[in-house]
Amino acid sequence: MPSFRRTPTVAATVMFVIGSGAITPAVAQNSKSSNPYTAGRTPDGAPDLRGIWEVHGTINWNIEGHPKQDGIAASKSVIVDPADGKIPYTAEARAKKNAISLADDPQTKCYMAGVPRVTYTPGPFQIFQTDGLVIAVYQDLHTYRYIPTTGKPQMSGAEFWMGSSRGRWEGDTLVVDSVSFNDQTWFDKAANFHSADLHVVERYQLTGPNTLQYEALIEDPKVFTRPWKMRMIAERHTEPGFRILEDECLQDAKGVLHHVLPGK
Amino acid sequence: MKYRILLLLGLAVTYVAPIFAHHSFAAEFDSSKSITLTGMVTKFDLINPHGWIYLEGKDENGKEGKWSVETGNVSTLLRRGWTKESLKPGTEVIIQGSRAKDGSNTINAREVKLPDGRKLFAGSSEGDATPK
Amino acid sequence: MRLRASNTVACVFCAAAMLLPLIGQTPDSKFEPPRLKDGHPNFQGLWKLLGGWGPPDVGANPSPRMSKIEYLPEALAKKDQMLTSGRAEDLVAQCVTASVPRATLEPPYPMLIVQDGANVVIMHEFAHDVRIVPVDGSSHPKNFSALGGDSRGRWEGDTLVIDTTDFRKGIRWLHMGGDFVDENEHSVERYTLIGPDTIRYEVTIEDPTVFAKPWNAKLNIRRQPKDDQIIEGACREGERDLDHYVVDGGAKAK
Repeated sequence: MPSFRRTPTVAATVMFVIGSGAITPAVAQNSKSSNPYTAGRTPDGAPDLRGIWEVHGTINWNIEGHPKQDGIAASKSVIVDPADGKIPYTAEARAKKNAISLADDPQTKCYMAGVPRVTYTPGPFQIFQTDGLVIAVYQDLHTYRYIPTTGKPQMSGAEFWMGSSRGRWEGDTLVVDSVSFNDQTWFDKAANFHSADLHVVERYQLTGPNTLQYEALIEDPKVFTRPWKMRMIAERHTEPGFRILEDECLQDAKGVLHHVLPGK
Repeated sequence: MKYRILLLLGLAVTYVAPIFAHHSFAAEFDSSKSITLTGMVTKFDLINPHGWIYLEGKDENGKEGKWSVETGNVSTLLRRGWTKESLKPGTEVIIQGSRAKDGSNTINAREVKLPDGRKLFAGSSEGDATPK
Repeated sequence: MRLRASNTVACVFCAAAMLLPLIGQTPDSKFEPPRLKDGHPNFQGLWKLLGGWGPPDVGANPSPRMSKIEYLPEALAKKDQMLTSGRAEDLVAQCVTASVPRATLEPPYPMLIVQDGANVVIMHEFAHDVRIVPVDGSSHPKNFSALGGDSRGRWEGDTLVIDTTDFRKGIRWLHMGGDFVDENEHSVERYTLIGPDTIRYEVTIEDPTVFAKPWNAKLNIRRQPKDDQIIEGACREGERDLDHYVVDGGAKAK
């Protein structure tokens, strides 16, 4: 497990060397940009991804892309592999997907979004970092993810909505490996689904001071013919005083659920 | 010898923690209506806020049927050594618990006894919390 | 004989060591806590309330850990009504949130504390409640109300004081025994490290439309073993009990 307890001099030297392009760090192989941005460092010496981020747009409506509909802006596919931007379902899984009723979207019942959907579910998320630990807190239903970077083994005794996650650093990229999912979450409102064998590998990397590139590699041999990958950008919230707000889902007098943010 | 006794006493005191549930036991179950279920597991959902064991079998009066048995939550059961594999479909179990007030075949489990004699404490609500 | 005497002494110490956490401990000004780089005490880690917290009976002698709760007459009537027919309205029964201070007190599942200098983040297992508490000197905002209120933290020496107010209109149960608070709740929590694995937790609650006077609870919170971790509490997703709730004291099924 790489340690980040470098002295300031070593860190400065490393940053200078990477920044000058003298060496090509491992991060470059996963980045679209030719000049990978070098993240600052947390007090513990880890790449600093802390802050409040948000993926804008309407990816949550259909990750394969969708036209403008019901006042919702259009969106292109966020799938970068395979190149055609389509989810590589097995024939059996595709038939199952086509038979799912869109009204069964678990998100409409105020269930947690799962991974990677929680990243692009509308609303900001905040990354906290402390020694050996990354925490992501999502405004959506006050969901949080515990992501230790100490090499602790995954939790495997149960199936979780948000899975079990373990992080590691590859250069300036946070790689998050997640397993132990249940089969209850969708990838979007379009009924794109998975089994409990889902395995997700996310990569978080700063491409600029206020842009965080997010990739998710999806593997699920019960549902897909091969692994596939999505990529998108999260933007940093820089508005003074911006913060994650409480998001609660409450029933009204007719029993209908509504997300409720703080009021006056 | 005295050392061991006091050590055990200390352990006993620290171990007896009140059990809490997210909801009221009394709104749903009757702790005065005990039940012993003997049957076969058809499904085990290790979930929150309570796990659920679904089984087919009979109560102590011989009444046959399908039963839904509530256990403690994921956090409680995992920390007591349960996993999602603990009760595979087909497992024969004997369950001690309390009956539901609404007359349905719903039980709140206290203890689950496995075929090999091991007992799993179900860690569910044990009546409304009492002052300690 | 010397051996027996020292065994007895060892017994007394071992029993005391076992039982001490259960007895209300007051902050030990001699304990020097581990510190963050900014000099403030480091509370980070996985913690759990020791022993749980049960509902006191109204009018009963206060427990050593909790002062007596005295209701205003109208509020007491409301409490009886809630216990009889309002259980399904409890936000905890609905798996929404345990709010402040119930998330810490009951149900006593583990909580994870993370500090980043500007915030103290407290994560609870139950209903995955999260509190992001600024310790940056900011004040409560104007024109704001939320189910969890607005929390602001400040340091008083080595004690973290969290002040919470601005709760949303409505009732929140404090525990299954029916004690409750409403939108006029004002909570002041004090967290002090009194040992490497023990936080002394004191909370004072006032609510001028519910209680005749403020009440408080003082308990210890213990560090969980290092190999433990916080576990997802997806409550709403698996809720299957509310349909079986019997209201009106059991007179009729729902």
